[in-house]
This record gives sequence, C-alpha cells and structure tokens, in this order.
Amino acid sequence: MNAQEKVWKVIRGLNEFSVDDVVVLTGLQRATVAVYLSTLHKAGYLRISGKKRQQAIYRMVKNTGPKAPIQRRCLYDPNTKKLMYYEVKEKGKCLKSFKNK
Amino acid sequence: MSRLQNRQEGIPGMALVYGEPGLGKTKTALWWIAQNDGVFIRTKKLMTGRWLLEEIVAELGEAPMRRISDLFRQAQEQLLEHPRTIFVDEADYLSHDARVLETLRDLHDITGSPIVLIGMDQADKKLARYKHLYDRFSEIVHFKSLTEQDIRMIADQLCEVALSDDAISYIAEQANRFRKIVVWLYRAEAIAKANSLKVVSAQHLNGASK
Repeated sequence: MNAQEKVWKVIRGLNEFSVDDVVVLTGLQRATVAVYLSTLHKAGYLRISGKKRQQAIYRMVKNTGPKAPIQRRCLYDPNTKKLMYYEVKEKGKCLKSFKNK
Repeated sequence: MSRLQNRQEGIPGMALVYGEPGLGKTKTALWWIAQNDGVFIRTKKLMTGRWLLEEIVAELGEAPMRRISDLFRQAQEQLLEHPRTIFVDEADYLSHDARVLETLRDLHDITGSPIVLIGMDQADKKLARYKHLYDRFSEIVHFKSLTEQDIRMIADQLCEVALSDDAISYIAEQANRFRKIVVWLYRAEAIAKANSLKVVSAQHLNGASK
C-alpha cells in the first residue's frame, strides 16, 4: 500500500479528523498527509467542518469507493474514472498520464 | 491497545473487540488496516444481510451483483483469492439479527479470512446468546480504560517532551480515554514550551489545570 492508499483507507473509517489524527494512525510524514488531504478538499471530497488548535477538522462528504484517488499533478479517481481536480493549463498532461489506467 | 495489535498478526478465526466508547477501538482497527491490509465496514442500524454483503463486495473492489447468492459467491471468491481481514465496526447493530451474524460466520468458515467484530460495551453479552457463533471467537478483547503503562506508551510516541512518572499517574487520574489523554499531552507540551522545560511533572500539570 502506498501513502495515499493508506490515508484514504483511514479517513474513510473516521467521521471527523484532522491532519494529526491521520498522521498518528498511518505513521506517515505530516507534510505528505497534509498535501493529500488539502487536494482532496479542493476536489470536493472533504469539507472543513471546524477548527481546533488552528487545525482544520475535515469531514468526508464524497466517499466514492475503496480505491484511493491518485494524486500526481492532478487528482484522478479510479472509482469513478474521472479527473477530479487539475490546474487548467495542465489538463492535457494529466489526461495523458492517466490514459493507460 | 497493544494487545490487539500484537495478537492480531495472522491469527485465523473470528475476534470480538468491545469496550466503552472513546477508548480507541475504531482507531486501533484503522491503524491496523493502514499498516497491513484489511477491509473496514461500518454497519448501520438498518443493515440486512444483503446490504452487508453488498458493502463487503464493494470494499473488496468488485461491483456487487444483484442476487444475494451471487453476492455471497463474489465475496467468497475475492477472499479466497486475496485473504484479507474484515473489520466490522458497530457490530452491536447486527446482534439482533442472527442471520446476518451467521452469514459472517459462513464467510469466515468457507474462506478462512479473519473477521473482527467491533462493538460497544456489553457486546459480548449480546453476542453470547448465539452460542455456536460465540464459540468461533478465538479472541475476545475487552478494551479497558488505559493504564499508566499505556499512557506512558502513548506519551512516548506522541509527546515531544518527556513526562515524569508522577505526571503520567496524574494524567491517569484525570483521564482514562484516549481522546482526553491526548488533550493532556498537548497541555504538557504547551507548558514545556512556555517554561522551556525538558521534563514535565505532575506539579506543572496540576498548576495548569487551576
């Protein structure tokens, strides 16, 4: 399992969580988790439901399935087979990199 | 907490984990899944056998079929191919329905995949009614309030400052749930930062709470 799969698995089981909660449960680097969660948030998977100690408390709002969305330059969801988030100018590159999936 | 972690490795059979809310049952399960591989199912009050099977099949990465016999076969084939531990959270919800529990048992008997039921306090009594199922549990773990030893372990892992022994016992007196203990650890860190201490003792903590 790679880092993104680990994070995805853990957050699907939690109601509400902060970056720290996920770090404790997965044992991954804080930065890795924070970047992935914020991308999931931008792509609409997570909602920020509050703040605690200057940290966002996330809540899962779009639980698309067991496969973890893959983040490289952009975010691809293997459950729905869609690009969920991308920088506009990079769309072409992203589509290419996920084409063989 | 660590007992489950250590024992869990590769033990076939069914297990029941139960205890009061807030002791970290779910988190321990998720922690285990993140380190190893497993499937986490959260049951719902209205869950029927079919719904549960659908959920399991979907989690195993297949598109659930329509007929319940097909569903069962799908789950069975997936588990035989790649054995994975199945965690069923909030298993209390299933305890009123013998058929759902039997389905889980069948799945376990046929595939040999470990199944872990997680439930609230008293879950053991609720499930004890189903004798033949209860006998299947190779492990029954009761999550108890954390002991000083456990707190020491958590503190060593999470806390950036050292805690003296009396600080640990002080926390143990004040809090026995995982969530609360973490709050105390944050407090200890803050105190250490504010007073530039290396070791935080009970005195400091006591002063802080007043």
